Amino acid sequence: MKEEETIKKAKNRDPEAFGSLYDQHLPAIYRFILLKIGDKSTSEDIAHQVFLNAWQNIENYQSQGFPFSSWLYRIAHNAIIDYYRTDKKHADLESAEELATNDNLEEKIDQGLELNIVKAALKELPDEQQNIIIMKFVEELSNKEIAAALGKNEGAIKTAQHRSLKNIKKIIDEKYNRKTKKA
Amino acid sequence: MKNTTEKLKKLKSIQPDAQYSQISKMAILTTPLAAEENASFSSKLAGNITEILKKLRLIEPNPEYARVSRIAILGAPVIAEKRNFFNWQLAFTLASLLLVLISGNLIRNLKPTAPNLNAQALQTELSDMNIDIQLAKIDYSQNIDETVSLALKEITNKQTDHLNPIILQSEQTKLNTEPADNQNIDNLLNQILL
Repeated sequence: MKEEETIKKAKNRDPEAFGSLYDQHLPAIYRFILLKIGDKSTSEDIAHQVFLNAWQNIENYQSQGFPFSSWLYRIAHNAIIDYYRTDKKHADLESAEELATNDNLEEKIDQGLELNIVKAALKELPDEQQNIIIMKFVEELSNKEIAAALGKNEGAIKTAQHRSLKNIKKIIDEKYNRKTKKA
Repeated sequence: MKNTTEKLKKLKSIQPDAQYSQISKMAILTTPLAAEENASFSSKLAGNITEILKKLRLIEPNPEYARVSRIAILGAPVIAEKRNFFNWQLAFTLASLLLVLISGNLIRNLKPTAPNLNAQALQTELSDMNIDIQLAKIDYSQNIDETVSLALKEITNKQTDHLNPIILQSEQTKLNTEPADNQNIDNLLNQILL
């Protein structure tokens, strides 16, 4: 079934249709929240709230040529802003226990190490650059989708991508070299 | 002796705790490396950043959480659509209507509501009336002056003509013949009052 059709059904309060949208979009929205919040249980709570809001307000969704995911990212983005506004205390990123299991322990460790460094660097970026990195390089959304989700124009997103990538590389480099000097 | 060697061989089966070895290995590998190695690692990491970021896609929500959350969301009562007490369309229509009324009123204020109340015409009329009043006043003053001077002359006259009964009689007749409602006086009064 096409997503448009599913959305139409969900708008008519078809739980099965919304359930299908939930299954399809939960992983990406959850990842987006987890990478920004860092705490698993808080991310689960926020993701739940995002989908609950989406279900209760789906009548307000208007496609206008943008995918449903852009709308969900927008809700998630606002929910994260609310979270940081109300709860200043937040835990660091948890170990990559959510990572798909890999039988090779060494690979798993290497992967975990790399990912932890990248995740830590990601958290040091300004909010908007974090959003762009996650949406573009983790979720591989198009510039149009990112622009719709963040309420920006495509040109601004393109420019911000290069800047964000450059910044995260710089952070990794500086962090790692600083560690070496201390050692 | 043989027994002892057998026993020693059995010691080979001692293995470190799996969890311990995993943690230990992680700790060793995360310890900062030598400067050159570190630099190459960081440059490799920075170079492969887009590839590493893609790996973050492996993060998945816990399936049990996803299942429970899904049930809870779909089972949650849907809040009835908030009634929009503020109807924008109605408000816009009312505002437009009000604007039309106000502007209509303003335009009407600019135009005279009745020609008789035209301010300019009234002003002209008023100034004309003042002139008429002044002229009438002058005329009246002149008459009074003449009458007063004549009376004074008569009083101061040593001749007693004024006491002549014939003259007095004629004056009385003259006075009596004058109508009580002098039209000129009425006109003058009307001009002053109206």
